[in-house]
Amino acid sequence: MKMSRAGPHPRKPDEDKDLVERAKSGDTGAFDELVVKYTPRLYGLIYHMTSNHDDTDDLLQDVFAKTYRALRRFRGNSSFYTWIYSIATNMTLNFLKKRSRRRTLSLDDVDLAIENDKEFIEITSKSDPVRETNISELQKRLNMAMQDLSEEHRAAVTMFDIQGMPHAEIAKIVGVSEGTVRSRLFYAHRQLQNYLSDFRN
Amino acid sequence: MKDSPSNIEKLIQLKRYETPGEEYFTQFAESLKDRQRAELLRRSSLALVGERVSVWFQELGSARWLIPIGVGAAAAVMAISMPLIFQDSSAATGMANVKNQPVDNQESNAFELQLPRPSGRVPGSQDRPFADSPGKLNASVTGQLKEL
Repeated sequence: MKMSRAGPHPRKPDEDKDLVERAKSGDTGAFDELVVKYTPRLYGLIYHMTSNHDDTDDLLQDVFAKTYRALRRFRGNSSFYTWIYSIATNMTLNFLKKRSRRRTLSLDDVDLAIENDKEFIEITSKSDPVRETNISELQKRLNMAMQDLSEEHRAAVTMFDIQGMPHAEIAKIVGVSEGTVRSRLFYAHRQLQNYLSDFRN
Repeated sequence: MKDSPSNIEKLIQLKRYETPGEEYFTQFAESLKDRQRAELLRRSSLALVGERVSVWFQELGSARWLIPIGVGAAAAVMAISMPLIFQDSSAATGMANVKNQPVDNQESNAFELQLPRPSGRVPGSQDRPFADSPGKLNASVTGQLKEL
């Protein structure tokens, strides 16, 4: 099963601008290209916030449907990337606030390439608890730890730690100051530390 | 090993390896297109109904002008006949409890009582209303009753 890591993604604003203008003028092929380009990253954003594959699938459909309807109102004051990310983040936050406190986890499979990840190797070599925990159990623990955070803190951790976005970009997307983003991350990391304290040596 | 925020961040970063796979993303794009097509069809159904009505109307040819004329005529008939219908029905209701009595026009719309023949007294006079027939109301009292 070939998979791809949703890591940092180099953006090409010029390319987006052209695609966006064509999509606005009715070129459905241009919009399809934007969908293909942004689906992996938006999937990752929503999935890591919900820890539920089915919810992610539904939400992602809604995000693109809303984006398509709102496209003609997009003025280009921000990049298309920031704009669609804001839509996805806000819709996911609204969804999480409405749903029951904790749903059953519905997790994606873990790419076997994790076993070759430098960080993973380092952690398992230095931490007995991590080494003795199988990948599936580790995945479950990490997701439960994330679900223990508030929605806003989870969003910050998803965008910064998992997707590698800079503080400034997160601040624009979420609509808060950079200081607030840093503060949320600090608090979230401390919470995660407490929750995953048994992974200490 | 001393636990530190950076180690926690490294653990969380491992969640990057959770992904549904390329096949999912390919299927997702197709299902999104299907959804968009369905939405377009749903939105255009109302427009389609409007279009069909318009086409039918045009196909009537010269006869199409009969439709607004007919609608206007029907509306006029309704406008004229409704008040008459209401009048007839209210008159029928009012006549249901009427007994034949010689009463004047003003009293015909008042609540009708079974009264003896009017004594000819002036309504509102000082005469006692019960003088003629103890236990029964004189016709002159109806004016007072109306006021009540």
